[in-house]
Amino acid sequence: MPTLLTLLMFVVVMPLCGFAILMALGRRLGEPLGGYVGTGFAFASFAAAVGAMVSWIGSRDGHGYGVGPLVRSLGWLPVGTYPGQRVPGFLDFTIYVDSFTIVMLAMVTLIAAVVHLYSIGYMRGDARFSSYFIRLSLFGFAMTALLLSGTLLQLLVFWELVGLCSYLLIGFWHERRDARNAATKAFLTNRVGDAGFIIGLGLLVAYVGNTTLPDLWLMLAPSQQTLMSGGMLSLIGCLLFCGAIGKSAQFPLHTWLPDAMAGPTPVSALIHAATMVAAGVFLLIRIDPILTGDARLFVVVIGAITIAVGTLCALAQRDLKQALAYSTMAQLGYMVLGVGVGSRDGAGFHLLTHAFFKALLFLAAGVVIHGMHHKSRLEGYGGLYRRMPVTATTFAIGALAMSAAPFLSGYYSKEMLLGHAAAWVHLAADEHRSGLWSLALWVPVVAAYLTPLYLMRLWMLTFAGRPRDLKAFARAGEPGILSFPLVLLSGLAIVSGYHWFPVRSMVESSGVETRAYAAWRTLAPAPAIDPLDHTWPGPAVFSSVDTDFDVTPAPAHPLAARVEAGMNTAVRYTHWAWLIGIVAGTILYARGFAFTDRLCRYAVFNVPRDWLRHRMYFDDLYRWVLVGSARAIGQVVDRFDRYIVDGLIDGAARLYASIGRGTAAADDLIVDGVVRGVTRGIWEGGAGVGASQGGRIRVYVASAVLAAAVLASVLMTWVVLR
Amino acid sequence: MIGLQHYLILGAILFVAGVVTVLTRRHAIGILMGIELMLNAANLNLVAFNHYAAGPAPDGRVFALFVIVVAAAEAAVALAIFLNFYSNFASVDVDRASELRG
Repeated sequence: MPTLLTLLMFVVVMPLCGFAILMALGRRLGEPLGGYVGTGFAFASFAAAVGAMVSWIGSRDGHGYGVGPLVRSLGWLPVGTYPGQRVPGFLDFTIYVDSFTIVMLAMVTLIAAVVHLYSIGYMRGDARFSSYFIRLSLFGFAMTALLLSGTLLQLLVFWELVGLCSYLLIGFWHERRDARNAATKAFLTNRVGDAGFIIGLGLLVAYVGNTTLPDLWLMLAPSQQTLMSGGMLSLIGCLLFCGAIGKSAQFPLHTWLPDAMAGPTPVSALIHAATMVAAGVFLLIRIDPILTGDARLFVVVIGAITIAVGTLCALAQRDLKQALAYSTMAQLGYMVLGVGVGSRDGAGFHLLTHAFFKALLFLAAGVVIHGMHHKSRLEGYGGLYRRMPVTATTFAIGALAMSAAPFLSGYYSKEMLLGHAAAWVHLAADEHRSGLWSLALWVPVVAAYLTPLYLMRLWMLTFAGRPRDLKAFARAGEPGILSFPLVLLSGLAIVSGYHWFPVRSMVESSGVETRAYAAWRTLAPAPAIDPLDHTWPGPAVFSSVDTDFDVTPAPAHPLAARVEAGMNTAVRYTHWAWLIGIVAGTILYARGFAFTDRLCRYAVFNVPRDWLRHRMYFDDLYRWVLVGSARAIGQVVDRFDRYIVDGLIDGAARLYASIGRGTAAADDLIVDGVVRGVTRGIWEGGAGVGASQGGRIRVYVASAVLAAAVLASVLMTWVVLR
Repeated sequence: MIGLQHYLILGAILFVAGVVTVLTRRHAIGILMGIELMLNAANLNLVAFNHYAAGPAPDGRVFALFVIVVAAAEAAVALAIFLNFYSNFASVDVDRASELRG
């Protein structure tokens, strides 16, 4: 296997090399050479990732890839042993590679490479051209290293590096105030989530003494673990999920995502498809085996709220990029909900297909924005199909894929995810849980009807109809370097869901590999899976792979029938959603804004539209509650300080002043006379000594070093002579 | 085969590099970097001695972690001082800091 490891090393090191070289020579290389260097390294990284994928698939037998993951561990710091543990507490550096890692690496490096290439065209003429590519290369390195991380601690390191890079890229045009603010907001909002993540990590270290992922899966499988109470494990699951809430822009911390649109558009594509927000879902998929039933319920609730908020807000945005940002948020909600209902396969699959069509949509939006001289308001668009036929077509393909139109990638992943959600709801109904649990199916189903509607709205308002800004329209166009990535990505947005394309099968086999690894480590069959019980399943609950391997086969389970029924439910309710949404969108926006503006003369439509345009007032709420309360506390403290503390001090000062006046007279006569005499003596002596104290720090340091050297040599002489 | 001496020699080189940096730089940040180099040289020795000379307890590594933490605190304080210094003198040339000269 050394070739595979070498290739994986190249995947990670190539962007780092690009970063180092651009850092050293970037300014000298300048435009466009610096961009080509960065792109070259990004493509080298992609080539290595493809090589790793070929080697991975080739090293397995004909049945699939899932024989077992590749784990390489390096002990770092012992933190003591804990009672009742199978493994001593040890913080490791670990590389954990399974099929999911491999396919994610291929996806991330591909999108990074495409975004690099696209950026050469997009950033043409920017004053800090090579600086942009420095940041982009570092971003690629951070994300690939994150994907290979086998311990949560190591993952956190690259997690923060990813956060830093997105801060640097969102705020790339830091001359602009909105970009600066957006970058700070993204960074700070993520800190809130990361605080939970770090507390969760600390609890893990305290209870388990270890954050290595495969070990955690083995020790903390909810049905078997004895290290802590179930409630504590649920709490740890929720806290780790907090990190994903921040990173993947889930409901309470989602406000940074639309603001992050202040960055350059290719960066938005990278953040939304491959790197930043994908990291949160990736973390969630990695900790999936240790999530308890309660933690899963929390994840499902957050995911469902995020779907609702994202989809509704996307319906009313006036800015092309902002609408796409909200659509990303909704799709991330789907993935999070997927992990919550136990469908890590569905979530992982959707993460990958979403990456392709969302990158496509953003890059297409970037062509439009570039062509329209950095205006991104929908009011200024219209009729651009005639100016940008390639962009319009590829945008439509991306939109169709995201709307889950049949034979495009989004159809397969969304169907799988919704099917598993339906199965979960069925299982809940079997156990007579509250009817509210069925919202886990209905929210995504309704959103599936609204998704094609808002995408069609964007397409109609941008590309169809009559141009609303004739001056900008006349100058619009699409350069070849920007169109090529769109064509490439639209190909992937079509095929990446098919069975022969190594995305779905890779994601599904990673669950089998985890189980094989567990069987190998414990020399016992993987635990039986019992959904909905508070001891929620081990990995890959809804894995639909035929396990034809020599390792322990997945236990036969009545669950299979439930999944079948769930799939049927999902297909029944959402099969025509794409067409209905598109037809509705076409009718509503056939004449630009004319029809909807007329509708909005009525308060019934106008009030919700305003509410959604103002992003449901979340920003105002946070400003009012958080900033306001901080200000209020500050004012109270200020008053306390000014009137009570200062009052005491002033009173004391006045008292001392009157005493002081009395003593001053005595002092002046008796004490001062003596002191003046002494001072004069010291002054004259000091002047002599002061000449050597030149105030030069380096002289001081030099004399200290000299003294140390003399002392050392005296000591050595003494030791030698003794 | 890499032995204890190699680490000590590397540590000595790092330390001397740090001393020379502190001695020759007038730029405050440069001096801070030199100090960091010296601290890291000490860290290297701690970890190396822990590995080659000490018993099974990870004392040396724990000390190294303490040194890293103290260095971070020191860097924070020093940078705050420099900021103040800069706002008073509009430069970070330490030779300008001679107000206390007798």
